[in-house]
Amino acid sequence: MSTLFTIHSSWYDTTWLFEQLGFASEGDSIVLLQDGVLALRSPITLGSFLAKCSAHNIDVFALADDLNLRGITSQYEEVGLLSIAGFVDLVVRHDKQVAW
Amino acid sequence: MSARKLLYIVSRAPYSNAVGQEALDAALIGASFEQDVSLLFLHDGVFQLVINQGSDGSGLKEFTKAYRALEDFGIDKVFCHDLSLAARGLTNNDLMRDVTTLTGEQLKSLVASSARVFTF
Amino acid sequence: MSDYFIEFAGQKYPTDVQGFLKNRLSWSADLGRHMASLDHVVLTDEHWEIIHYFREYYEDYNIPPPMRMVMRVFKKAFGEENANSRYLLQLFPEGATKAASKFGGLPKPKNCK
Repeated sequence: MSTLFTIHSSWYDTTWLFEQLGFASEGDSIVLLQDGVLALRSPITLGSFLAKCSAHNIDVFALADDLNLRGITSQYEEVGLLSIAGFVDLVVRHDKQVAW
Repeated sequence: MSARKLLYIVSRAPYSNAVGQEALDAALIGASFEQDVSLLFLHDGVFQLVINQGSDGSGLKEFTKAYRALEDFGIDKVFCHDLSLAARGLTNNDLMRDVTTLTGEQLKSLVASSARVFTF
Repeated sequence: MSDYFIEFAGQKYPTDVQGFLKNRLSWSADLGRHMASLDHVVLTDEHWEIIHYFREYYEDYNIPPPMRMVMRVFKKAFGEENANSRYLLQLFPEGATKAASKFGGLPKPKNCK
């Protein structure tokens, strides 16, 4: 059963969650949305988080609209940018969602 | 219909918000429909279970007392994340009831094996 | 000040719109009996067994007991043959959880209308 994890809150409140990869397992996906996208502007590098996700075969995405709204440009190639339609596709592809 | 595995996760401390009460209500409803309910306390959520809470004089109801009666309502799977406890200087002795502590890996398995996960 | 109250023995007890006491600490057995009479229920030993159980359980856990625990207590007190949910409903036509909470001075249970 694959799980779609969504992180809605600012990195500054959720570093503990990032440290644990959101408790995602192999084959799961993580989407940063709403204030969750602020992680992409964090001066603390997301590199180790993304490397660990990649090593565990966990895909990481961010909602493009939420980045644009906040004037953030992603500097991480590993983070896939999602349109709303793309997000919907992702929801359908997973068995359940965990909203952090 | 066979019982589905439902997981309720509380990751915030009690009283300054209603998430504990909401999670409790939701889990009790799940159990009343004879679903296979697990309740997990994570991050600041472990403070929900700390002993010697006293709401006297605050005007707030000490709703967390109900955590000691979960078995009566058909909920016997109660978990805490081990690192969340340790990071807050808490051990099982500081908690009002028996819990099963889970490592991060065990927690991941619990999430992965649940049919639905509700976060509070 | 509450808009609703019960007047009993020269005192006013604030309640919610359905007659559940606002302050459970102001409850007494006499007041409970009076509250029941307002709902046309005469309290018997069987009623009191249930009401006291609800009060003790609420004191311990801040939540009304689930029905299967109520049935267990009921069976223990009055025997297997008398204690079934139909008999309980005869005692408390409004529903045991709702009525026992009300006559026991406890707040309205969440799952009751």
